[in-house]
Amino acid sequence: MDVEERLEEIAQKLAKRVDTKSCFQCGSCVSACPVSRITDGELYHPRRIVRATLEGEASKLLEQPSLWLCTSCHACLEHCPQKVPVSELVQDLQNLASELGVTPDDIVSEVENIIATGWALAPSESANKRRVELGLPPIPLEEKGKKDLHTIAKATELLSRLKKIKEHKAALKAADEAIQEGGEA
Amino acid sequence: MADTPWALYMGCVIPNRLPYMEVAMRETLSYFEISTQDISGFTCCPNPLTLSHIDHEAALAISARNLAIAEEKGLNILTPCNGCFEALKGTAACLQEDAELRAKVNTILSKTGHEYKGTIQVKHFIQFLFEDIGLGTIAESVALPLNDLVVATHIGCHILRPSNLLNVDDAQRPTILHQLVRALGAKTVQYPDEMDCCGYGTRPADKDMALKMTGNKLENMKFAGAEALVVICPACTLQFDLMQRLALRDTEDKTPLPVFYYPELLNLALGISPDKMGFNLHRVKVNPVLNKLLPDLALPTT
Repeated sequence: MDVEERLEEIAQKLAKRVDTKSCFQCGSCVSACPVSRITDGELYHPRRIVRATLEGEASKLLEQPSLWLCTSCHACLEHCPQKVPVSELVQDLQNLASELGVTPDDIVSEVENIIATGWALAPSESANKRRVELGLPPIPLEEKGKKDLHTIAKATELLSRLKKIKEHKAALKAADEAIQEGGEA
Repeated sequence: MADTPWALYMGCVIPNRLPYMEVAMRETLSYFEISTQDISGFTCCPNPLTLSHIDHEAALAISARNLAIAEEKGLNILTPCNGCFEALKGTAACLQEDAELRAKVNTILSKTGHEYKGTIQVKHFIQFLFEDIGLGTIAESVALPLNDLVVATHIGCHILRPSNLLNVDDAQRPTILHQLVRALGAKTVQYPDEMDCCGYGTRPADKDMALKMTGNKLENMKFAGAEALVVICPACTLQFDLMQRLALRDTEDKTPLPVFYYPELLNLALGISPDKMGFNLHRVKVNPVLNKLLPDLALPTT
């Protein structure tokens, strides 16, 4: 996969839905964004993400941890006077970052759990015990559902992205160890 | 309401970690004699804060599978969770307006033996209370008016936005939760940044920032005079109730703010005994509010 090609696809997808020149960088998305406000726009800045995408410079965003600070509250999208789907663009960029293998650990472990058990939070014995005490029915085990999720993950890019993320993490660790050893030598 | 078109989709956070929310929801359904069905076959919605960030297409297919499971049984979906609602309703709306995308998703789904035809409705439980039960019926059913109670509301993001897909209430100035609380006799306050996220969404990337967002909101609510908070979402409940002590660590005012799931407050107003609900499972003790509403209880507050 060519990253530049995929970024171009994302920019074109955005251009199909909105006039690419329609973002006049007013910053409504930034003032609507709870993460931008709490960090004074220093860590996460949706206006700059839109600009970088439209100017073909989004590749520099893909390895930045800040790309994942988006809460997905979609306030930016609702406040945009030009109807630029900002939060959806951020999700497209996160998908692409995952294709490169860059995704926060907590997100990866939850998604692995979803595929392995069918749920973000797998039904536990202790939860079911408490449910019975409260007069609630036990949580059903969904073997067919688990199998289906695995089938879907295989039929889409989900499984290959999870594999790529694992490889990327292993490569980073190996590089880190090489530096450590180099330092000791 | 004999022949019911509703399947309950409970998700995973409520059944596992916050079962008292489910208890309250089922009490409300039973009070208004709404029959619903617990069906098997569902999986994760999937969480719109994690799986769709890695692969949006896979997320659509997993949601569409859940929609198909209900559709095959001729049922609509009723869910008490904002995240599940956004995933399921958002997918239903996306696939409704984009036939090409629906065909693509169905090609993936065919490998599981399912097909989503696009015929079902998805409603959030709070939307159902507002639209199908109605403020009038709720107000008429109140046996214990909550007249002296002042609450802040936090409706949460994922029942509202993206509004073109979810279409429940005004995305920036929603009123349904205020109206539902006021129908019980309680007063609602407005506070700065009321529409901001609870913080939960940024937890996987930065837990401290998530807590700071939660703490700021709690401070604003208390400053506006709220003596309780009303929420309608398990993720917001985790942030505001379970994480409250940590969230208040760096704020000036450390007074605890009891958090209620709307149906809990509704049930109290309907005259349902607090014993029938799991108030002891709240992390922030709700006894000060229960004592105010039902002085005879004289519950301990320390």
